[in-house]
Amino acid sequence: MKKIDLDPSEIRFKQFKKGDERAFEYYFKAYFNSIVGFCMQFLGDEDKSKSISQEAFIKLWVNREKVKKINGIKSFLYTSAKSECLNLIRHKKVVDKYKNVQLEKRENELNIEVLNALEFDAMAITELERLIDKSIAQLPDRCKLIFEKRRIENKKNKEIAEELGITVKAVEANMTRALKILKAKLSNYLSFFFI
Amino acid sequence: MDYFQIDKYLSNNATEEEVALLFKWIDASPENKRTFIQYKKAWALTSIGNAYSDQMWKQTQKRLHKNRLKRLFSNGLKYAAIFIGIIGISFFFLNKFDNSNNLIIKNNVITLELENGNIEVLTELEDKKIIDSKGNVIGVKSGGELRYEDITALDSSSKNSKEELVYNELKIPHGKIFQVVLSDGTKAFLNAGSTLKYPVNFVEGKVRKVFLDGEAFFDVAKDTNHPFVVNVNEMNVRVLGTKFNIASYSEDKFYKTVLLEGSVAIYKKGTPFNLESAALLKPGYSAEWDKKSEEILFEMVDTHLYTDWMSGKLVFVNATFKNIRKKLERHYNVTIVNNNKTLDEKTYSAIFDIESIEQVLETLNKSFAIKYQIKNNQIIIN
Repeated sequence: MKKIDLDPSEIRFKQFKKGDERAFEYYFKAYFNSIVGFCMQFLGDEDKSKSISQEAFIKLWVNREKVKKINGIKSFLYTSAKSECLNLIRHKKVVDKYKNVQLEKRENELNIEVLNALEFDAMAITELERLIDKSIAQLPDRCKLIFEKRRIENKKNKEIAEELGITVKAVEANMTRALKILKAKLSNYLSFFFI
Repeated sequence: MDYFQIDKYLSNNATEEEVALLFKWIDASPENKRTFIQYKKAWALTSIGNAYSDQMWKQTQKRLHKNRLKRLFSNGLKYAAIFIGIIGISFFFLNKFDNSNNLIIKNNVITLELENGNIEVLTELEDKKIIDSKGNVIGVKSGGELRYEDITALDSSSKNSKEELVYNELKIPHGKIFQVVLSDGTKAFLNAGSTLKYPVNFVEGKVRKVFLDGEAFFDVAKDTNHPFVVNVNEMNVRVLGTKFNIASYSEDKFYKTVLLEGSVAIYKKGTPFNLESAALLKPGYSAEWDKKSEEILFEMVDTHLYTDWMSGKLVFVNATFKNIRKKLERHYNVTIVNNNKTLDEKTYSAIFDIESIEQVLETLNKSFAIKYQIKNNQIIIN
């Protein structure tokens, strides 16, 4: 008899592949903000970022049978968002940020270069998750708590503030601090990896 | 370059002059550019937007359905024309069929094979006592139920016989459902065309093991010292005390176990039971044991769909017509001859409440344009 992995995340993944919308909703909740955040870094436009992310999830649903592994979900979403961002930048459909046209042009070039340097195969995603987890584990306790409430529980700053009995400002300050440490650590790690 | 400047730029807080300076630095050396790219990647991959909301999910969910419809239409258009054609033909032929020929359904009986090979016939109307070869009353059949007594608890003289297992076998014909209460208090509800073999009394210190062919719903009496095992050919389902349904009909590719309460473990017959090699099923899930590959697939299910048969309903979820007609034959104790081989592979979903076979055939005709006629006490589909 084949040994069966009864890990709840495996069950959820199988459900998703079979067309269970509840399983899909779980992934939507878990990853939507990350994909929007990713697009925001390149487009600086929330509405466009949202619609690209929504499009990515719909494509994921249509192609769910082709996704082989759990990590394939994230790689699918990021890959889809990446190519849409590239499209918009190449076709100059991004809002101008600077008065200086040269600056605008250079930024777009750099964004294209960064996007092209990003590979989202399942192995890269696995490695990335490991690095992010490792970096989060090293955050100061308060930062870690607040960061995970945002990242994992999808809570808004206001909700976190109420829950912990602190001001929204304090939550924001902790988030900024957490992200700063995290990004510094991650960019350090990333220089050794292929992502 | 101060990393603070990169941070400032990436968090959208840099002035245009600062950005110009940063870009100059980036272009000054490939090393600088590499550093910047790593930083930007880290930012992109850890950024979390504030865009998720229930509203956002609902809006996306709606679009999933729209997409499905669109795809259905684009793929289905050519079939739609054929389908309309079939409906047209079926209405044309409907009047020509001689449906007045009524089905006569033979009343098959429930049989109980005792340990000595004697066969008792259990009929609906007649209640009777079941007596073993030693003359002990081991059980009572009354109405739609056969109830065994734990005779060893009452009669010390039969204490010796407690050590060896004595089996009875209950056979349910097509068209009937029946309940048996085993001597330990476990209830088994048997579906049409099913057979259950079980010990008249269970032996102290050993697992309680029964053998099933067909479909049954078990409500197992809790006894932590004596696990209850249902054997279906190569598959064993082991429980302590719980409610679950097992379907193992020959027309299905798999044995399907659906768990309502508690927990059950599924493992291969002949292998020693241990938690590492067994697959554990959670309530609300079903386990499909593939007869060929012996692999198990788990799925969250609406358990009602798999237990409604006890109240006389017939439920088909994306079942092939081939599968449906086998189940209709069993449920109604009729013979269906299908001459339309392409129909066999088509899938349908339907729920039939307590209806006659004629009503079911009419519904199939109206909803799916399946034509039928009754001839020589057979249902013929063309």
